[in-house]
Amino acid sequence: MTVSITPEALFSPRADEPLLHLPLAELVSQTEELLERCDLFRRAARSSLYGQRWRAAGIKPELLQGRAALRRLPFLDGTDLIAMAESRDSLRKALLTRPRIWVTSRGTSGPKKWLPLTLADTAHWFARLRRVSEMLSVEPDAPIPTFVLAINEPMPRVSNALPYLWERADYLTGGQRLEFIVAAMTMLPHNHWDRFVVQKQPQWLMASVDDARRLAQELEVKASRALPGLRRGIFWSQPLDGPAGARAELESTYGLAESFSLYLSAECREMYAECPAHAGLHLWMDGVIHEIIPDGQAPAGHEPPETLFVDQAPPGTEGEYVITTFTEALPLIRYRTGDRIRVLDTAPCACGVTHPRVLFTGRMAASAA
Amino acid sequence: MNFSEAETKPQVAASFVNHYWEPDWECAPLPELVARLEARLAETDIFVRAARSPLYRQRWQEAGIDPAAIRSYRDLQRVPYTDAADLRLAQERHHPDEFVCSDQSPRFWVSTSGSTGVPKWVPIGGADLELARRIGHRLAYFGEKPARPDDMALAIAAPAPFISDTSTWPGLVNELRGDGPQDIRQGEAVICSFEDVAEGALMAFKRQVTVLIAFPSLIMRLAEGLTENAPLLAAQQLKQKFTLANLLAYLVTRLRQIRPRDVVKVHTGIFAGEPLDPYRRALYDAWGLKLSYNFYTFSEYQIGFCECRAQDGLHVWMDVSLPEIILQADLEREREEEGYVPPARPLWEASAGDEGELVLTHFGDTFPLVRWRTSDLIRVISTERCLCGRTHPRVNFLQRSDDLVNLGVIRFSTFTLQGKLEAITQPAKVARWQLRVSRRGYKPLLTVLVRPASGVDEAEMVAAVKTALAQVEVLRGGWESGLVCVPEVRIVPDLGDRLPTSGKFRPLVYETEGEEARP
Ligand SMILES: [Zn+2]
Ligand SMILES: [Zn+2]
Repeated sequence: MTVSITPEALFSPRADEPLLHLPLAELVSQTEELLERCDLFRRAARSSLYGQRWRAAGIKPELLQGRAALRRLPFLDGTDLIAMAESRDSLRKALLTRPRIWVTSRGTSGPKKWLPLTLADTAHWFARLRRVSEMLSVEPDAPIPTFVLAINEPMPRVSNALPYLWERADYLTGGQRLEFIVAAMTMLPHNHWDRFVVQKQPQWLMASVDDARRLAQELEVKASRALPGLRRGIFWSQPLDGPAGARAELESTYGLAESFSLYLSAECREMYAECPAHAGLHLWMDGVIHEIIPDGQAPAGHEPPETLFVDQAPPGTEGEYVITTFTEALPLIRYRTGDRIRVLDTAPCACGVTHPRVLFTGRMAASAA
Repeated sequence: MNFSEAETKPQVAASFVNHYWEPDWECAPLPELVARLEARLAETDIFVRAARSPLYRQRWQEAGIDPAAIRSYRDLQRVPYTDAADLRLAQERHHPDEFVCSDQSPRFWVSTSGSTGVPKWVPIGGADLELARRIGHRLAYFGEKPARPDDMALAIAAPAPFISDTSTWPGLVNELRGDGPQDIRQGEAVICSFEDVAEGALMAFKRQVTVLIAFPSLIMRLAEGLTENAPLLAAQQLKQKFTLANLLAYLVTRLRQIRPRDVVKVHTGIFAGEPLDPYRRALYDAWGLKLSYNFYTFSEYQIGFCECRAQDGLHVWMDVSLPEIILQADLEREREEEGYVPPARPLWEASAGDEGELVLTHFGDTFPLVRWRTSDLIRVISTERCLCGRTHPRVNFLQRSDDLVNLGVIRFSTFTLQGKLEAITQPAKVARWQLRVSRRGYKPLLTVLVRPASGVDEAEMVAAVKTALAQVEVLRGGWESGLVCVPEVRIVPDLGDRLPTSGKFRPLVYETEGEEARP
């Protein structure tokens, strides 16, 4: 079995609120229970992504227990996922169950990664997005409805889902405060949706950092003049903070009062966001295990690098973000995301949420270059 | 129940004969449906709300319509028609919010294709989404075969802000709500936009696609592309698993062309966006399709009509809309006679074989259509009860009746082309022109007939017109991507319209589709 969410929990407002405030130690012990209950290691061993590789490393999945055992397992990375999608056979052997739908990474560089989701996986993803949307729904003096311009990418790219899941979360449990125009940048030259957006004057902008920049270039006048009603931006795919952070630039381009960083990836089946305290992004401890490969270890080809669980990493630790997911169709075990994080704090946040906070600071390769 | 269990619950097997989502509505006798429609008209506030919209307000006032007094079909017949041009004009002058006729704010704004360069914007509310969803569930029982968990669908959708982008994720969330047919379990899907169609199709092939949901022309283009790349595909299979059989297959494909049907087993196709008939035979040949269904909807309406397993026309829902038809002869007269307003007849009283333009009134909450001229020409198939048991009238969609040059996926306005043709000065001006749309095999072919203003070198004139055609970006994209044939240009000294009664010039003519549509 895998993690399951009942429809009641999925569609009750703030149903998982108590989970957000549990002490960290309790969240960790819940993860241990979850590992046990889901039989994650034995289940994953059935996938060709893991079985053979683990056996070759002398690992017996039936003996693995608890999240500490993760540390003995080999890493997985993007090249493994690309290889998996190469043929009919390799796909069939890797999948644990028939997925319902496929999403891809952005694939801005190189081939796209294809990731499978079952209906249960979609439920998990929706629950995450609902949590994020509830976290960001607190906005004093927001007009009702708040008009949202959401720039997504066409199917099957992962950002396609974001505005639609957000809309459903608002419609079904959020009090119906939002009104959306969803648009893809590829359509802009064809139907000039920017003109409509200027007429309608959105209050929120949801977009990848790249698309937000491109839209600003396409608008006939300066973005902050064309869209003076914009107050809030929700941005993904590139860091808002750190040396290459886009926050100041985007806030000034669009004249935003506030902006939020969002982490969204096809591989992750998760969604992390900056809370209203703006003290980093909360990494949800329920349903995913986070590790970090701290910088400064031996280069590839030597011993596999050592990791820390993010909840045990000292503030300031920087390195590569590694995830273990409980995805039904294909769990990712120790997947090296290629994304850099900096651990900000594992103590409870000013907003009251106890899940650790990090900053995403860019891609690994970019910083190595 | 949790979702993991839902994924593994056993499929309800056995026969699939005469299952309906809402039998009381889908199979009620036609007179009963008409009576219910009248009852609804008597009590609805839709016309009062619609009259707030700048789309209707002024023209209704000018026609002396009191929206509160529309209480029957007879009353409705006095209401003027509205069409896409009215909407465009109104949207140029009014703020989008004025078009919202509901007390609830919209959930989404979607755009129509903007074939004439100016897109229309349509608000969709929560109640509209729920209605489209409920009617959509009916379609789950339409086919010969219900969806099965081992189906693998490849669906091609348009990017946002087109409406088709809204279907995937809200659909999955609705399913999570426990909504929809519980005895049917959907299979797997790769859904992609035009942009990712090559990669998406490749993935779908690897997952052994069995169902196609797309424009028929795109799917045929895909088959052609596959044919071009066939040796490559076989080589990949060989690489994947080197066996004698695969080696033979590889060698064979180097000699003969591969068809999709030799690689995957697609049993069902659901096709939208253009008439299916010209493509049907080619689709069956190339893909080995067993079943194909035509599907129809548009952004302003959102509700889907589909062919049922009887494959004898698309059922037009009488319970969520009031369909009328303007007969072909009246459309002709409208073209010829300035100021003539053609009458519309109720579709439920039409005769089999009647052809004309579909006019729809529906009870949309946010953006109600009232006597909306769809510009789609239909042929009435029957108003009798269908073999499938449903009673809603059946029609086939033929072509467009407006200035839109419809080459399937590729559409543009005659006015766009007119501008380009009128700009030609060398070697001579264009005195007269006409567009004729036909097909070569299944593929749309545009022929431009031109009469130059003075005697010129024909080859030079043809070249000038071809250059003008290439300036219509969407058209050029169409032939460059192989979706339509490269247009032909013919110089004709005497360009009559071939319409016997008409003294008026017709810029666009669709040539009959029949035998020539066969591949
Ligand atoms: Zn916080
Ligand atoms: Zn039928």
